[in-house]
Amino acid sequence: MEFDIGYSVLMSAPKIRLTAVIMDILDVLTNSPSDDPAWGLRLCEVTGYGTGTVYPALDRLMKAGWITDYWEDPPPEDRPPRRFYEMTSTGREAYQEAVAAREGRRAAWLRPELRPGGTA
Amino acid sequence: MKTMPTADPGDGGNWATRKFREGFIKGGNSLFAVGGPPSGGWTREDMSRVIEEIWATTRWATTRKLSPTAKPSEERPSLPGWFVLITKIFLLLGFLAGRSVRPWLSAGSLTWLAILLAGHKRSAMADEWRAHLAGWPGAELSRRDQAHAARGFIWAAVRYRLEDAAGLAWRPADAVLRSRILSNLFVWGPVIVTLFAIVRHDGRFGLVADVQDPVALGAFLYGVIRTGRWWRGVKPPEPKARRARSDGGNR
Repeated sequence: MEFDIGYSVLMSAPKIRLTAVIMDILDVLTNSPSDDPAWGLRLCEVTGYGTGTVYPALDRLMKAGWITDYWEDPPPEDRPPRRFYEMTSTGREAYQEAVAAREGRRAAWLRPELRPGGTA
Repeated sequence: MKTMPTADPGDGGNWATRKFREGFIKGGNSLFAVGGPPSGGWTREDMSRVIEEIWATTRWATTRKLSPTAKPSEERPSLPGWFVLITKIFLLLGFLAGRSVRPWLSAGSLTWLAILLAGHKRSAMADEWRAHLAGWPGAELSRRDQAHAARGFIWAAVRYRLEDAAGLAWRPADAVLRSRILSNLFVWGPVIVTLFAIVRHDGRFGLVADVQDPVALGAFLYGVIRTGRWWRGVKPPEPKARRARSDGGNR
């Protein structure tokens, strides 16, 4: 008899739902150059979402292991340091799968013969 | 400083009504400062002047309405003692808190409140959010944008807390969904209890007659488990027999 309700349950990564907000954030993170990484304000400005939407989404992505963060180094003296975000390999794979699925759906919509049950 | 539009004297309302309106507009102009609050925030004197303006003008209009022949000397009656006292107590409390009225709604204060709401676990958000408010060189946020962002921080903090609470609430459910034994107990436990209850009350014949009840219950609970696993993205471990078979196949 085995009970697998140990630590792994408490530390389980949440499932990410690919909402428009998440996709937009991932779009920005994917297209950010490594020498000018994305941070909170830039993500808000580029995606057009408010801080109340972007930061919780970033938190969920972090918990799921799709993105990782690091602090500005060295910290500037005249303002607080910025927290930069970048995608992990897990996040990159999941994002590419999601984009491929989205492209597939769009293509199927534009070409009815590709829709499930559509006629050639 | 911009001012709010004043009441139109020819708007058809009677004289006293217009005076009431003018009094509130005058006070409102000062109180809400359409052109922005005075630098350094509201002082006790500012607030006293505004309150006095509203009170005196409306009182004056009332007096004139009740007594149209009132003399000019009666036009500015002094404020009643109780009103002054209450006002001063409120203003004093504001100053004891070390702030005037307006800064409580500033971006810095709202961010501080948001950090407090987000909790100790997310103390790193303090620097992140302050860096956000600082903007970047050449594109600093205006005070209005800062306040907007700070309101968003509060909403973000509330959402963090709600997500934490939801995560806690899901833990026992996740434990059941991840474990085959607990999932089976969840499905079969109530079914077996129902079977026993039927046998106890109706005998074995009742078991035959009411077999649809435990079957429907079991199907429903199995559906709950499957839906829960799909919803939470949870996969239970492979059963031992299947695992052993696949291990054997790999060798």
